[in-house]
Amino acid sequence: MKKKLCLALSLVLLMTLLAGCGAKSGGDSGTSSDNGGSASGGTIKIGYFGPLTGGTAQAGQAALNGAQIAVNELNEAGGVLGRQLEIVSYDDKSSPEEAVKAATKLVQVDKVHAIFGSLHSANVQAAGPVIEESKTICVAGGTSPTWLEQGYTYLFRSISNSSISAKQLAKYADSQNLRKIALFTSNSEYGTSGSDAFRDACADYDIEFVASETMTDGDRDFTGQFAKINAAAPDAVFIWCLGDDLGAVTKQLRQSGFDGPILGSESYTLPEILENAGETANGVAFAAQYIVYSDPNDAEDELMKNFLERYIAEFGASPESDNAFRAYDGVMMIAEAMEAAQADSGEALRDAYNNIDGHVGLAGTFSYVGKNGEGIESMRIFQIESGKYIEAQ
Amino acid sequence: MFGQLLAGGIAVGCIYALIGLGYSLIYSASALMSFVQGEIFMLGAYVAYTIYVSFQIPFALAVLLAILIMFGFGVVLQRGMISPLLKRGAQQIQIVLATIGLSIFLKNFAMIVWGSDVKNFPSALGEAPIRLAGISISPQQIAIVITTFACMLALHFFMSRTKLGTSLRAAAQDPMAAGVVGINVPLTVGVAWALAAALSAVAGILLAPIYGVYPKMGAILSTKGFAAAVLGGYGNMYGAIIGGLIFGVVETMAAGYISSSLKDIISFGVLILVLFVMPHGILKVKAD
Repeated sequence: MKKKLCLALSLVLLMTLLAGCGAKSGGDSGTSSDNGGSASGGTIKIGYFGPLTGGTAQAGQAALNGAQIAVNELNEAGGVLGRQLEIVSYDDKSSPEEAVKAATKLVQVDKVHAIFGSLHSANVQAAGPVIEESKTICVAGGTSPTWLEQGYTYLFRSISNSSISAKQLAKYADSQNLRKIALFTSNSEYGTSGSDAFRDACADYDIEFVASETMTDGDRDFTGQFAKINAAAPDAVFIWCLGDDLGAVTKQLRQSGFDGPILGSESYTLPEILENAGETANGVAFAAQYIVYSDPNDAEDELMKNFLERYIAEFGASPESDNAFRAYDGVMMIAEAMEAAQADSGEALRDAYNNIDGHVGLAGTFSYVGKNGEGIESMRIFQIESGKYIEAQ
Repeated sequence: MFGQLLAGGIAVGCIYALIGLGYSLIYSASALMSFVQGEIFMLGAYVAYTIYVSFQIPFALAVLLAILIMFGFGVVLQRGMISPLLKRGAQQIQIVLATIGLSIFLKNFAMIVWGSDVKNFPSALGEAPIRLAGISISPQQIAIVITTFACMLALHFFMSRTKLGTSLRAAAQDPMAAGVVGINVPLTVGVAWALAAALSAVAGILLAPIYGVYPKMGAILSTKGFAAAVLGGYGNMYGAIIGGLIFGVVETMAAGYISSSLKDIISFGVLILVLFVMPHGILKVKAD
């Protein structure tokens, strides 16, 4: 009896495990039996792993949608190497552990030709060894510089890393003659690394830090910190906090009596902040790769405008996160490398990706030659004026 | 800077006081602890947001409706969950666990219904700060202080001057004896839970324009409101008010004069210290 129960239980366990692993395949059912590698004919499989449930699900879904737009566009134009593309996607639930599982499944079971994922640097870092070993190229959207400093040769990034943003902001502060700056940052890893990068970048200029205050993510009362910042009478306040908190932070800083310029993190690109902070966000300047425009007509860049129109036509609304752009650029560059290499995977594809030079994407012009996986180092400075994003000179 | 910190501290302290009042009311009326006050606070903000922003109903009416709905929620909570649990022989600890469970349920419920992003609740009073003698205060902060004191006064008169209030206090002191002299004890307990819910909802609506409305907004406030109730003397209405104000001012002063990263350590440290000296809190329980 006990044995039977034991057997039944393990069966159930096995079944739930299998069910949990079920892949959501974009397009057909994914039963095509091409064995990856050198297979000619059949579809080209692009793997995706990123958060599709949980707190950052919106960003992950936007990325998956962005990748889908790229795949649709490529397929309409006849595919890559004469073959159609399809996406195989897994949810990494924002956890490094799940990311390793997802990446393993992509390279070993689905035998995808190339991967886009994840959005979280920690997840890319965790999945790195599996991906490297399988010789599958993986383009990721995480912005922390660390995971490309580990010596992996199959990992790439389709956005600038976070240190660039701080450098551009420091340069901007100097050009605007902002000499006395107060720092207000999250006390998490994100905030500390942001403020450290900014301090380092400012060392080249004649800039003085008159106050440095921190907040805990999710906190909503900054009266004490802002009183201190206002008492130091800064020319500008540097804010580096998570997107969820930025609306309240900006509003309260203005209400505490500070009306000078704010230098902010790239999270100011999130459309919800414009809505939450309202007119108090006017005077914020930040460095970013791109802006999530809710109306395609606001985009000055033709490529961006086309992308947004396609995205809205396909998914009914503009992307909820700029991760859609990172994924789109990533998949387009994978396709370009495949065409250049005349190969769909492996070493030849990696080398071709490394040779991408002058690819114009949504983020700007990419060049990977000799840069160890980094493809772009420029960012633009945007300002919020009358509730709209404008590019600063 | 002192004036600025004091003003900010009083404003946030008022919110702690309102939530703390809820905890104390429930405890004094039914000798139970409810840990769902933070989520009621959040739900109140969402309900007001939906009525005011989504349905475009005038602000005053929207707020009134939201408070009424949350008052009703308090009644349903007491009648539908707490009272049946007690009838089935649940002890204090089971009630505590049930309310914690409900709070997790409500947080996820809000996430599904309204999404996990921060919703903007425009202040009916405008965003431009008022500057007075070097102090910058937002109109919303002034509204918080005035509304809180109005609520407290109303509650004070309700408790001491009305028949229902008096019977509520009597039932709180000795439910058995109160029942014997003809007081409808289940009614008074229901009213206490409903008032607690309404107060939390008021706090949520007051704070929504400053914090934004999002599923986790109750989590931060519920601990601090609870601390306010404990500091003032758990179960004592006036204690919760004093506790909330002290907690808010200490916290803000600590962030301003010492360090923002030590803000919580200092304010909760003060709480522990006060409890060491006065284990029952600042005002003794059921002093009135």
